[in-house]
Amino acid sequence: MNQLILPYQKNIKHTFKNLYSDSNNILIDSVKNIFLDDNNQIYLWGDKNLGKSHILYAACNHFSDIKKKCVYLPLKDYDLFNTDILDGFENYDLVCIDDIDIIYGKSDWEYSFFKMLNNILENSKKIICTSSRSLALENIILKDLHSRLSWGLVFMINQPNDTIKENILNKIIAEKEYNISDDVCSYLLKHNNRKLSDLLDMLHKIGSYSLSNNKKVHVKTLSNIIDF
Amino acid sequence: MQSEFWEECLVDLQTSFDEQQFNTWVRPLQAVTENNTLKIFAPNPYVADWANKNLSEYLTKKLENSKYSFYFEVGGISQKIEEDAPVIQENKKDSFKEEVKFSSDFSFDNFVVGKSNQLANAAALQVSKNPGKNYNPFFIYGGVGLGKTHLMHAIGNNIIKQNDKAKILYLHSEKFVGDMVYALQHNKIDAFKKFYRSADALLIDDIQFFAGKERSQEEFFHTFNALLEGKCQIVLTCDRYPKEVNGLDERLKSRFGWGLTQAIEPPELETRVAILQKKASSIGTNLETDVAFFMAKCIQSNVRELEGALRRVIANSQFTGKEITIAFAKEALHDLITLQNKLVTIDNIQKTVADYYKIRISDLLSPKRNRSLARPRQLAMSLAKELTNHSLPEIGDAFGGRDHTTVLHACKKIVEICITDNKIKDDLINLRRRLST
Repeated sequence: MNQLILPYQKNIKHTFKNLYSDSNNILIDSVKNIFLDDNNQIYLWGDKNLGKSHILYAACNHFSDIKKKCVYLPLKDYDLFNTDILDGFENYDLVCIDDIDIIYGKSDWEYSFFKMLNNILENSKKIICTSSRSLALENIILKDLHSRLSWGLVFMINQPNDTIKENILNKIIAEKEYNISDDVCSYLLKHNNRKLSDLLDMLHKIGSYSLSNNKKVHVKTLSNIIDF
Repeated sequence: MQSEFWEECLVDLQTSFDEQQFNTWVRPLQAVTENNTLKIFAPNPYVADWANKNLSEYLTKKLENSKYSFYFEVGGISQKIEEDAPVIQENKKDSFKEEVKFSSDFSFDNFVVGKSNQLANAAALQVSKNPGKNYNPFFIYGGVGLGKTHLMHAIGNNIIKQNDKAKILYLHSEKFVGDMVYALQHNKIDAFKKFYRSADALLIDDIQFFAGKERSQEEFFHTFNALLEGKCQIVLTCDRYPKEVNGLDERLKSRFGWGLTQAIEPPELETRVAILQKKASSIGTNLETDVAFFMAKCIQSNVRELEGALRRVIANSQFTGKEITIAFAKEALHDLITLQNKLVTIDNIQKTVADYYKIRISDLLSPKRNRSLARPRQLAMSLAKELTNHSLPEIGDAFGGRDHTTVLHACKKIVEICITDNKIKDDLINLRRRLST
């Protein structure tokens, strides 16, 4: 009989130090230096599971420590609020907006966000947004919003190299206490799609299997759990 | 100063909530102690409501054996540096004056003039030298990120330079609407009227956002008339020609045309190069002409995007310590260039031109030489040369196997025609805009 897996979230403080990054150093430096720069906005885009939310949490933690007023809003939950949630954000030193692309194409949200962005830029406050796609590909109704977002620093978040990917997988195994043998990660990297988001999905599937069956997963038993 | 007690609470709460919840709902709260009360401020009612529901129990327990009570309120705290005393600020203002922003960063000196904006620039300069006289209202229109706001601020700055007591109001149209709604809600409409009608120059940006807001248009109409009668300068910007704004009162549309209406077009290559070099120099970076040309060719849509790309190249150079060369810029803008190349293809150009002239793509590729087909074909070939990296023979091939000299002739012909034929010139500008936004 399978064991019931209880929802369990370790509350790890996200920092710039515990962000795995190799080719994204310039964008991390830009975020860290946002208060030293004339530029008031940064737009980060890239595939899921590349650490976009991590960067925003790390920015909130980092700048709150130096007494900057910070606020974070995950727009993937936009249907839980209405656009009034953005009210008053222009009074914060740093506004972090996660998954901004969710509101593109929704005129009321675009307009409210546009107003907030204007206020932030007029008051020389700072804003960092994340998105899953490049601005060039987004279908934004409000052209003014599109052009204002393009005005700041725009960075694509790169896929990490294989060594970093393996480190990330091993770190998650340790954090989630999955019972997985050491050679599984390198096997996954060699024998599968090496996109980090796909690797993570696969790892969680294997990890859940190991916990619910209370069994260590080895390379030779992988084929019972996932299709290659 | 944030309450020390609240700092202590934040440490507790950071371990009780995951980072997303903490950063969204707890982090934005600010607290101050006053007369044995912990006042906790939230940016908006949503956050206040969440905090009330989720933190009250914790705070009640935490303050159990103390003399303190607590409550949540919408607002914030600002710091008076000289006094170190917290000042509570409401999110809504009491006077309209407080929030009127006018920037001194934009001047005529740092506005790069080219063919696309020289008339607008000259007219703006005249308006700033003789406010309220010849060109009133002055209406600037054009696509996003082309410098309308810059010119508007430059006018304001120049007026101030000549008369430092002049009351110049710059605002976004949405701010005018917001102020009016606030004035109506708080019974302050007289103060609102007095404030806006006392300006020496009223500069309103993006008036297309007035569309559909009838009450605001009505009030703006009266403000407009009062200012015009008082010979006060009015400057307006819009993303399109006033008559094309749907949902705008006809009386307003007609009044907007009383003065001078001037368009700003997307900057041509040489102007984009000059903008890049001027901007780079203003931030202490030398941008070689070949790099500026490379970047200006890659980014054609608007000035904001151009400035964004420049920021990125400079940031990359600062953090890596490398010199800015074409190869370096190519690497720094790699994703942008790749996407741009994917977006503007010969196929896409042919489709866009065919749609624009309501002809078939097969007509563009056919050997037919009547003018109704030849001109769009020449335009399409010229755009393919300008907007893609394909060679002339490749472009010729893509247009029904034509020779590369035909492509070259088409490009030259279009340049010549644009000098004498405004219709073709406008078509080229419109097509370029469609393809690069």
